[in-house]
Amino acid sequence: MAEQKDDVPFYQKPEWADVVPIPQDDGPNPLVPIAYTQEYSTTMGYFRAMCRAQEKSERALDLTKIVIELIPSHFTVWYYRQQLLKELNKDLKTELEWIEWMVEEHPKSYQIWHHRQVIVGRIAQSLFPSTTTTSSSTPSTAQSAEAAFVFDDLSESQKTTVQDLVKSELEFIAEALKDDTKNYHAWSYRQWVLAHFGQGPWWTGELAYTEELLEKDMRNNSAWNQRYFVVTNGFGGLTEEDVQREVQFAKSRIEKTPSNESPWVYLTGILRKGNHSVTEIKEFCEGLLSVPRANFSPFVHATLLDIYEVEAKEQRSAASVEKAKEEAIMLAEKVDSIRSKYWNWRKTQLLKIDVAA
Amino acid sequence: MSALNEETTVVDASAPELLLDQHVKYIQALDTKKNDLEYWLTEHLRVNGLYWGSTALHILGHPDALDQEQIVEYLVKCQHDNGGFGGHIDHDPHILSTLSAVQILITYDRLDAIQVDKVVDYIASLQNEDGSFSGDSWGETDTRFIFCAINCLSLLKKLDDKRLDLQKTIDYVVRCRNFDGGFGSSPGGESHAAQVYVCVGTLTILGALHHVDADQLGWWLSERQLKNGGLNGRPEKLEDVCYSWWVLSSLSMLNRSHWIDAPKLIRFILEAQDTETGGIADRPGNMPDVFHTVFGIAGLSLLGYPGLVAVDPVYCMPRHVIQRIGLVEKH
Repeated sequence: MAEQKDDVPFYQKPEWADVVPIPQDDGPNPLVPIAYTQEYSTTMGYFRAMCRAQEKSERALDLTKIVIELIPSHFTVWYYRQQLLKELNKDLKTELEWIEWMVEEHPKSYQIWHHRQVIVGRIAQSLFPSTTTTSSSTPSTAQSAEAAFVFDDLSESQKTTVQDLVKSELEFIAEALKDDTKNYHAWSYRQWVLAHFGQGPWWTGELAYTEELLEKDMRNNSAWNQRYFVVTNGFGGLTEEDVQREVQFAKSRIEKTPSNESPWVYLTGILRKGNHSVTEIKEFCEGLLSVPRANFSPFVHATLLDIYEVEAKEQRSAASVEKAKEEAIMLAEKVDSIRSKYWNWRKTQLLKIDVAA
Repeated sequence: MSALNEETTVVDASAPELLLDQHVKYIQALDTKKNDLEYWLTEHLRVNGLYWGSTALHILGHPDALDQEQIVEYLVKCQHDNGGFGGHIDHDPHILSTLSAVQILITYDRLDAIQVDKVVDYIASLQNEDGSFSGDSWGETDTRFIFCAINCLSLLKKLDDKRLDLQKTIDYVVRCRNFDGGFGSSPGGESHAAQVYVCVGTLTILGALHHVDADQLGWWLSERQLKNGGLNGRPEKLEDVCYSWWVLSSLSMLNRSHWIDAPKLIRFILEAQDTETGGIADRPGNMPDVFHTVFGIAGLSLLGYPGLVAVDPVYCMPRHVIQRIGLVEKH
């Protein structure tokens, strides 16, 4: 019986009898006329009627779900739903369960991920109203978002509550990342969660998480980016100890996949951020030249070119200019010829270096 | 008459030909598919779709292939009292559709049809405390929306509006710059070629390109070219025709578009054409769509492909239109 009832379209149910759907207004001379499917057009007609009346009711909330499942990128309906959830004082944990299902269906919808952020933002605010520091507006971005609370100032039981919430969000995102480890929306939201709840113990876990992902796929650039985000934003910023550890971490991955762009960019990025010179990895790079697979990696030669160029400038050394030139030629002619114009330009730059006579 | 590309590239003789007439027909036919549910499931993108289609037609040298009057009439109906444009009639206003509407109206020289001051009110209302812009009144923030706002205000010559704090916008975009030289959607977000385009575009329009390490970013962008000539958006991702635009226009703004292999990219784009229906797909062998069609054609134009109208790398509109409205060339 119940199943049969579910087969009935919502608009044929008695509770909808008083609503007059508003048809699509295509104007007198439609560029885009009206011959689309009946179910879609009827549903949207009822949605327009609800929206226009700004009705705040259970049936309006039900309808937003129907419309969203039909057309999840229709952002108006999400906003209406958020208002309804607030007005009707709905349980937000239930909403999270539904979003989880929606994310599985539509993992690349901007709207769904943003909705998750809005709802979790509201949950965070409602936890301990007196300690929250943010206003009612949605914190916009990962790093810029003011943390919802100072984690260290919370009581032990409050800390547990926050940790549980963060843990369940990070697990939810990790599930989505299992299907697509480079899902941009999932990563953006993950950064927001990490930062929004302040400097809690989850930052330590996050470093381990990136390592776990990189174990599975060393070429996952999103995971490398996340690792950089963690070491430079968590624990109060990048320390000398971090630099040493991360340099070793990147080097060990480069040794396994020398032609992988990500760890190279990470390695030089960490050195720069930690105020170290790229020349510190000279021995490491030169060592790779004798490794059969590595000596054809464009990144080995590109990094050596950078190193010799720095040396040439610092020491006004003609020998270093020569070595740099050899690398540029190697890149332009042998290992990265698709970018030969770039490498040839690099070569011409070397001629400008003022060397000792 | 529209200015064709002045400097044309020598195209590899063995590359497929550009199916210009078929692309025109493909775009003209898009609006006749109203019996497909797919058409309606993308109705929130209708105004964006019109921008993609009309821009592609202008670059192809067929500016009159769509009914201009009908389009203008339709766009007017998409503007709301608060000044913003929805993606379709009865859809809430959004910065994405607002920029598209303004771009189309300027291309057709029909800005007179709408209330420009209200558009400016709308955009100014979307600026956040930190200098970024939200996409609409409910707050999602992304560097894409910053570019839409700045681009639109620049086209309308309203960047001097007193309600705006552009220094904060510059500061925010600079905070989105990553260790690889690229930019993401928010501070800390992974570098992505499309986000690079919107950030470099914003800084170009605001005269703040000196915040970019052009050599480092130019190399990162060049690294996006794969052996088959196509470009990807992030390391280890698949090539896609739309990155021909995001990567190439960024390189062009940085004066480094010559760093990639142009003949190989031209061939890749041409191979993604659908020889039966017209239109260009994301990569060879896939179904075409108007989004990849415009960015493929705009990419070819930037590459100097003969016979195409020159495109502006910042605004993704015909260069002669940008010149007509007197925007100083900053690139």
